Amino acid sequence: MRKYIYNYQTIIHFDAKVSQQSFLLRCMPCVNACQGVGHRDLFLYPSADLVYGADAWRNPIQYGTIAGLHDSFVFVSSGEARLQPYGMPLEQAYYRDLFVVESARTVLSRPLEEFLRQKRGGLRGFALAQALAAEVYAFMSYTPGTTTLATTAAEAFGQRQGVCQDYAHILLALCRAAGLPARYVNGFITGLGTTHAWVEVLDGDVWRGLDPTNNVTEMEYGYIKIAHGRDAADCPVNRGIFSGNACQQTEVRIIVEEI
Amino acid sequence: MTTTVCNAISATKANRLYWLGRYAERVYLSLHLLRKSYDTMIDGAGQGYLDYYKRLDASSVYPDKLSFMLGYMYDEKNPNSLLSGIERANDNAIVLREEIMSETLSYIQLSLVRLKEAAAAGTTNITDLQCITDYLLAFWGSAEERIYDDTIRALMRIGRLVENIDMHLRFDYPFYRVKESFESLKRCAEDLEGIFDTMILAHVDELLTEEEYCPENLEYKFMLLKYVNHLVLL
Amino acid sequence: MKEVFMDKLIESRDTVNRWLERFGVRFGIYKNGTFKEQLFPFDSIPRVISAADWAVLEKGLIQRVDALNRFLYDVYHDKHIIRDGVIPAEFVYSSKGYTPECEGITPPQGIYSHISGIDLVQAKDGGWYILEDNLRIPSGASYPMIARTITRKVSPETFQENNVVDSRNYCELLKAMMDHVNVNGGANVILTPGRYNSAFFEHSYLAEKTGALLAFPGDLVVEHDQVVYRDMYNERHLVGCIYRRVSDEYLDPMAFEPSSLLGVPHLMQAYKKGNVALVNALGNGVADDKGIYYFVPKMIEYYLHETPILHNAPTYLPYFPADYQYILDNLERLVIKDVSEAGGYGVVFGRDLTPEKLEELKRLIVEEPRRWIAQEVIDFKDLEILEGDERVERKADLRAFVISGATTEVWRSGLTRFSRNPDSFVVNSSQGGGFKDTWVMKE
Repeated sequence: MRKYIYNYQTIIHFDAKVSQQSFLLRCMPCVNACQGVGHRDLFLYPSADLVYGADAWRNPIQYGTIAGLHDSFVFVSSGEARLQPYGMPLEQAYYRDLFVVESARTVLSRPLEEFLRQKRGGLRGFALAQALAAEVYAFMSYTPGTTTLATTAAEAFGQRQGVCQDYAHILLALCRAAGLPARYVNGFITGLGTTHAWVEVLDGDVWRGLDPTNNVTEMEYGYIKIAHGRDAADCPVNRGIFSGNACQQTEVRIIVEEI
Repeated sequence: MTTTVCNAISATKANRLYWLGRYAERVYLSLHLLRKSYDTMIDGAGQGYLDYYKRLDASSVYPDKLSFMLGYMYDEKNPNSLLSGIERANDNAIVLREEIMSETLSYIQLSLVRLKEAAAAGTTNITDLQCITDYLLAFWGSAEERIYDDTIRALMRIGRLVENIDMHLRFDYPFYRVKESFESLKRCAEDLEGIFDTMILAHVDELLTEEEYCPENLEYKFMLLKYVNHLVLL
Repeated sequence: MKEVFMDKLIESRDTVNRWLERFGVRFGIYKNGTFKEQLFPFDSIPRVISAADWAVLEKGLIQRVDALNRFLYDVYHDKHIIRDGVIPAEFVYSSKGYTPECEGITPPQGIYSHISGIDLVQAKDGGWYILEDNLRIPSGASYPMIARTITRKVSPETFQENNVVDSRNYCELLKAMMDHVNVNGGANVILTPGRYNSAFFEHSYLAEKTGALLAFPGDLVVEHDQVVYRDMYNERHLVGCIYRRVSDEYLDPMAFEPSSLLGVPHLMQAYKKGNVALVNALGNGVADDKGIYYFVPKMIEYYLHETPILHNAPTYLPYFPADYQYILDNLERLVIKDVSEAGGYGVVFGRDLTPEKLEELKRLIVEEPRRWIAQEVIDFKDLEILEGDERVERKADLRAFVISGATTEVWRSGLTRFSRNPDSFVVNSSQGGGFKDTWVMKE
């Protein structure tokens, strides 16, 4: 087992006062077969009654509503995560059927289909997924600012540029087209930065990790998971709605270190 | 499960009830005032309508008597026209069906339909719009007859009386006419805590005395109009 | 039928329409981006359904809706029907209506489809066929309901002389159902997206007649996982049942479409904890998907061990190899539907297409077989309508309303819609057309 401390903070500034802000966060580590937590804290400003729950995929969520007027919103998630080598058993038998269906952002395009046909070789199962992860890494160039949160796998693939979210979507589209159940993961990785996205592919009865952005095909340590789902739309760290006419500016900081 | 019958009224609905009352009254009084104005014009030089504009803070957009008459009855771009007023009343009424009942709503619908028909036919004789006056009186009668929720009735009535005071002030009605509407307004609000801005209420009380009352003084008139229009907190 | 008295009713068409206008009976449509409210023209010749015919329809509709409710429970729980191979998993999980957020949630009283609008047509041979199931927000019951209230007043002799079942109890059925699923004795609420929704008349009319509160977006809030209605004094009133006329994707911006201003933030969480009933439940779209429709007769056999009483229009799924070939070979005489479209859109008749268009459609089917279904064109039994003062025959369908509360009941009337255009098979009110009252006879 290895231990990590993490500290994730988001500071949102509104340029005018807002009220009746409802929020739903996915910013605290999951607890599963390969991931435990020493402790986990969530600091919220302005303070509000916070409810802890789970979403459709049993990811931890934290939600509430700030009724009064305010012009900033801050949440800090911190704690200690304890990791085993990456991998977790299949939770629900039907996930095998569900995570193989294409989702809105992982719709297959002709070029993706062609890419799969070329790279497939004689490989099957998880070995094929590993090979595809490496191929996606080789094919794409990591270029922040060329895609948005709404970019689909086909669009990012078409321009051969993107960020971790796009790499993950492309790998998902390929795996699913090849009949491999695969899902999107959002989380923290060691070092400074922002959240990171990777992929889990079902290998027999076990979900294994693949990080196409960093060409990691044997995932072991250093990946702290906060949510999984069909694609990025299922895993936003922060969803919110408020009354008021304001523009918002968001700052995110993450520190994850092994201890 | 036995469910509670819930008569709660949201802030938005309260606001709409108030404005429904105001617009219904505005159309009713406008019909009355237009009739009077047309009557005055019979003997005058035909420019009598300019006075009507002035009282409603409107600029004279209609070049002659006929276009004035048609404009104040049917011009949808003129916010003071009968048609605009009934459209606004309907905008509020249509989303209050379950509060005021379909039957009460129907008189606003009928007014709207008939007014549009009259507009399409280019009816200029205002006696042909007597039915609108009748419908609006039936609207208030229906509200009285069918609505048992005191708050709903009070909110509509408050709107009606505020509009009544506003219009009577604009057209220089005598003191007692404005005063009795104001006293009635205060009685309506007795059970609605916090419905008035208390500071403004005090100002209106000060200004609306027999000694002070002087609608010919425009400064006085506009101050009072401003207070009356900001009196209700909805 | 006592013809003399029928004539009296039929002659009253314009009077009835004036009454409908007076009560603001309209529906909204968007034309070139602007909102318009239109009258929904009433035709005074009723559709008459004999007691014997109705008995069969009633039994068949109850059977169908019961099976659909069983299916919805199964899909969001143990999934026996998929595991037993009756419905391919792919059809369920790739359905737009499948909602993972509903997994494991049992709605109050176990009911998913409280108000089901089942669209049927009668063929020339008298047989009834199901066109589609509407288990999300079926609308339209208010029109024949208010029309009946008016026609009984305008032409009392007609109703005195004909044994028509009184259909004015729709709102009583609705209220009893809402009371039945209400979780905490709090208020029953009808949640409307607002005045500019095409069915706003219905929302407000049903609120009036059921005594429910009509709530607009913003009137409801979730606090401590409970739904409350805020009044003008900012006091909270507990809500126990929401008959929502806002579709799933806009119902909670925290769980679904994030930009939605029509929803209630955190409603999903309150629902999940069992603190409010939603009428209809969330996630029902998986059962009224045009692709799932094919499997409804199989659901009836699977869950109820009964033979389906009402038949689907003969349907083919390109997904199945045998059907695939049949569709490609017979495209010019079939009707093709895009499973992702609703409201009469995405419906194409093969016989109306040019050879080029046919080829194009074939290509689309080959590319995305899961997206399409094909049906035999049913030889509709046309209904008489008045065009001016002349009687002419037009296509018509029937939307039957099934209410599932303590029991499953069919409302003894329905919305009969007809197309104005003699060549049109599409009777959807968003594409023109009018409606008729539907008479169910006592004997």
